[in-house]
Amino acid sequence: MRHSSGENFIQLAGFCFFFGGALLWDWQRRMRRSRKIEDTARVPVASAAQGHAELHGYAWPIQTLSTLLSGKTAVYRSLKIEKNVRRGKRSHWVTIYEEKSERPFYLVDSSGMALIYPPGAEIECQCLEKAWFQLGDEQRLTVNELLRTHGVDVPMSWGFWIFSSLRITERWIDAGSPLLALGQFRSGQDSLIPMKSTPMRGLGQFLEKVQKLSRPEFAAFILDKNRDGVISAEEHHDGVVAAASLSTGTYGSRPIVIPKGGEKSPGFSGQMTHSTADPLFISDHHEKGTLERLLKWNFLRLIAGAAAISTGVILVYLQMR
Amino acid sequence: MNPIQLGILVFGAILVGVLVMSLIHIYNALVDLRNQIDRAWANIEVILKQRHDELPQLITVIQQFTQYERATLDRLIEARTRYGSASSINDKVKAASEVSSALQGVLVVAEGYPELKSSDQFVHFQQRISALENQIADRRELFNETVTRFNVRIQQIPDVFLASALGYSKTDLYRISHAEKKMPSLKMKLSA
Repeated sequence: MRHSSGENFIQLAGFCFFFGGALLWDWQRRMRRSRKIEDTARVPVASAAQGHAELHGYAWPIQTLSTLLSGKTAVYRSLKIEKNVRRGKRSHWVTIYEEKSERPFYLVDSSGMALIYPPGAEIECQCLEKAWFQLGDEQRLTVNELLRTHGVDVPMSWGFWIFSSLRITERWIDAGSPLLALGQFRSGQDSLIPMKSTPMRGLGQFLEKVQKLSRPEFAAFILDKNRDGVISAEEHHDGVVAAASLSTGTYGSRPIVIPKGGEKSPGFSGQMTHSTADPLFISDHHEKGTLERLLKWNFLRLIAGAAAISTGVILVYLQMR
Repeated sequence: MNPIQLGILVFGAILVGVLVMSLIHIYNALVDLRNQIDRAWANIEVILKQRHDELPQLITVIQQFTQYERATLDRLIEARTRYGSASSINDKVKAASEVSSALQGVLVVAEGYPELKSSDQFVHFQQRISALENQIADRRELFNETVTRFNVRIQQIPDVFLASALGYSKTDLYRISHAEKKMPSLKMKLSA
């Protein structure tokens, strides 16, 4: 009993050290990232010089992606499916399937367009997590098909699908979402993606709508959903995503006719990719919203991390006494 | 030792460690900001150098048509020479502004010579310098924003303590000179 109790103490202490260390690491990561964002001057896409740059704009797809859980049109998506595995009294989550979109997409502003390559980048974006029982029938069929297509071995029994614990986590960047990209910018007129393959239809209209939304009278009327006189980062995000949907005719289920004719689109200015020397950071909010998200409850992470490690030390001390 | 006392001691030690790491991080960030200013200025200098190199050819073209405007051209030549011999950022900013101001004066003169205005060579250099002035304006904005962020940082707590230890002081913005403010916009003139 004493031996078993001692093991539990050590395991609990180990968990405290791990958990506390993870919290402290996350705290310092967020502090460094937010400082980097604050210290880097924002530049219009067309004026960005070669080298480290911070660009603000809006996400525009080369090829749209559909999200599984939220049913939205996205430029980037990552999906993770985890299974809860039990070993005696303990259980833990095991990833059985994971995918991340590697397709590049555009960051557009009124001055130009830049190509963003997500592989390897640190991405702060919307996240949704659902358990198996929370999914709709179509979503379950899609998950089923995904796992089967990628050769993931799961027992195809009704018992498994009803009683097992599956967790699906999806992260995505909406088409039209505000976008902040911080990293190495390579200027140049040569796009690695043929411009003809990019759906420019609706881009000019979208940028006009965004221009209108930047005016206080329009913003207050259209974006301020809760009428509190303040346009939050979330309200701004939802408003411009809706503007993108309207501009491309994908709003709701009713098709919207887009007038024919040439669209004036901004010119291509360069691209951003991830490298170990200059990691790429992408966020689906502009600077203010990104900083709010990064620093929310961050002080608590520091306190909780320090407290967890201290608790671990106390447990080890008690065990050794 | 009492476990609670030990816990408090460890908690305090962790916070001290975090404070030391934060100071290191602030130091690195200030050095990074300082380098960003140097980089932003270097990006402007590239364009200023291009303008500096193209001015003699523009002066030669103008001289062919405007034999009686020696004083105006001399002012541009002198301003260009002063830019070439400037060493510090502040001296170069001042000299670059003088070049812009002198260039404006030359183009005002060119307005009075229809033959010059219709010359292909003059039009080519006019367009070239216009494009360079646009780039200078864009990069000046980035430089000024970088400098502003640096100046704000080194005056805020806790960066102010490290900044004074490092000897960092406020950097001047790349402002429009008094002479430039008086003249009509150079960009308007060049694209007319």
